[in-house]
Amino acid sequence: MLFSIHRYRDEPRWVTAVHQEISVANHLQHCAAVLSFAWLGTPVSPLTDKEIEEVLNIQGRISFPKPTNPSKNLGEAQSIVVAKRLGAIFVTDDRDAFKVAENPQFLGVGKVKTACSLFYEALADGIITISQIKIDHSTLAAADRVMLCTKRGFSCG
Amino acid sequence: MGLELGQRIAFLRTQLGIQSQELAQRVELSPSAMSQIESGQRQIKAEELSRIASELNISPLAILRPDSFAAKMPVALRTSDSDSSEGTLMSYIRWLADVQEIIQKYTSKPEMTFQPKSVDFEVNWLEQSREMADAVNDVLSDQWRSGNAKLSNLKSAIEESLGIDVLFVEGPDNDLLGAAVTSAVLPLIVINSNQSQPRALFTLAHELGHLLSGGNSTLITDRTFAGAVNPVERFANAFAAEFLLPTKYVETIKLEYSDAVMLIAQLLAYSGVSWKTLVYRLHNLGIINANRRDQLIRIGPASVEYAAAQNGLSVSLINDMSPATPEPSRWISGALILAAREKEIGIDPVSHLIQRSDEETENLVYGDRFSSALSRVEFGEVDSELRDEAFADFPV
Repeated sequence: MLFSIHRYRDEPRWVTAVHQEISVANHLQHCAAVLSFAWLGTPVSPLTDKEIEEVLNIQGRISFPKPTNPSKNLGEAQSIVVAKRLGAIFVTDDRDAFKVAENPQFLGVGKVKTACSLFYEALADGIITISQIKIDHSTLAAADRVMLCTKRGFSCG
Repeated sequence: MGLELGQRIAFLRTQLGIQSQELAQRVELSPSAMSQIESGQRQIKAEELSRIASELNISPLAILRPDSFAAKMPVALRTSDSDSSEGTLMSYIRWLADVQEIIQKYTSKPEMTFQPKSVDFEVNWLEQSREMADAVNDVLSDQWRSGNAKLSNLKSAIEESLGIDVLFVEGPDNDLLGAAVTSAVLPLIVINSNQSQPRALFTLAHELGHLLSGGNSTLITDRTFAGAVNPVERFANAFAAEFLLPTKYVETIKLEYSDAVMLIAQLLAYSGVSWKTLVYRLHNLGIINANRRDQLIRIGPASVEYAAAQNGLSVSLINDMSPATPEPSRWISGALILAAREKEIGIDPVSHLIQRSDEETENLVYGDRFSSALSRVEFGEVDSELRDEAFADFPV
């Protein structure tokens, strides 16, 4: 479905921190599947010290640092910085990353989307039906993945 | 810039006595990759810098911004005479240093009413500590001493009247007892709440002494107060003793009570300190001699209480020894709640700082009138009145 959505849009991008996070869990079926998606392209990295500084600045704004997990939310922070450089839209279901990304000094409102909003774009494109969207929501909930549209202040679509 | 960044990593690593190969192994890099990063021949990745910083007990932003306030923190820690291992209290201080600019942007904190003074810790230090303690007592008045919640009352008094943030965080047993960020940029005292209330009260007064006497450090940390021979620590101990049990008050009350047990009971009730602290204070003021001091320490308050009861005198000589309670700081928390409302910062870090659940923090940030049915657009149209209302409720 993701491939279908992106077929008529700009090329999708993902970042090295997200790639690394998924690679660590490569033994899991879904993670291995994502790593095999050629259409996702080569993961993108922040290029300069200034961009790295912005990544770490954003990371500290999204989550309280944990010495045991210094990479927590690094993928979201990298994605925001790379999206800013590329003028792209950042897709996330992390509430704090979503909010901080909406700040005009980073991406701004309209430049951030939830995963659920992609479902509804697929619906508008005629790729999936509303009943499939409901099933996808249930599947993700069953896999213990909290979708942002279920959180306070957010809604589907 | 690459070379400079690599050099800074090498410098910090050397300061901690870590070999390049060892650091490379810890952060899962090859020795040659680490060498290339340090010599500026290879662009470092954000995730690599994050892991390296974690191993060096420093915030990655502090490495990237050598002139920032955050960069001054760990250096001060390593040059102090305390153990420099990372702990819960330090993780809060490091993060607050990283977001210090956001705090300053949103804070409604008044200027510090009592400006730190330059103290000569070697000459007339006792006299200076007394003068400073008297001056602070004049500003705070005695209101915080009434009732049993002296620790919490003193915390509020320092925040409201002196414009200094005080944060109580629960750290493990081997963590710091307390720390003082002495810089005017972020005047802050952090106390480990995992200690008895009388002890935490002394720690708070001790850190206040550090903060107000300034010094060259940005940060002063304390693991123990026992046998302080360092002049800076000696001064802070003297300040704490004089602040909690002012000489003038002890001299006055001594004249009012002919009975020693009643005198001690009155002083304990007034100050909230532990039995041991009081006994040492009475000795230091020349009210009891060394033999009597050791005798009183040995027999403890329960025995004295019992003996008094035998003589028909019912008094309590044991202050509440239960652990202190974690409490958020006043001004910093308020600033970060506003910053979260303005999407400068997420709910998660604010929730950690104010030590509330995610949901409670959301309520403080956005107000609790919202339901999940509201759209994001409606969510964004909250007026400033509601924000002020949420802010006014904090801390409760």
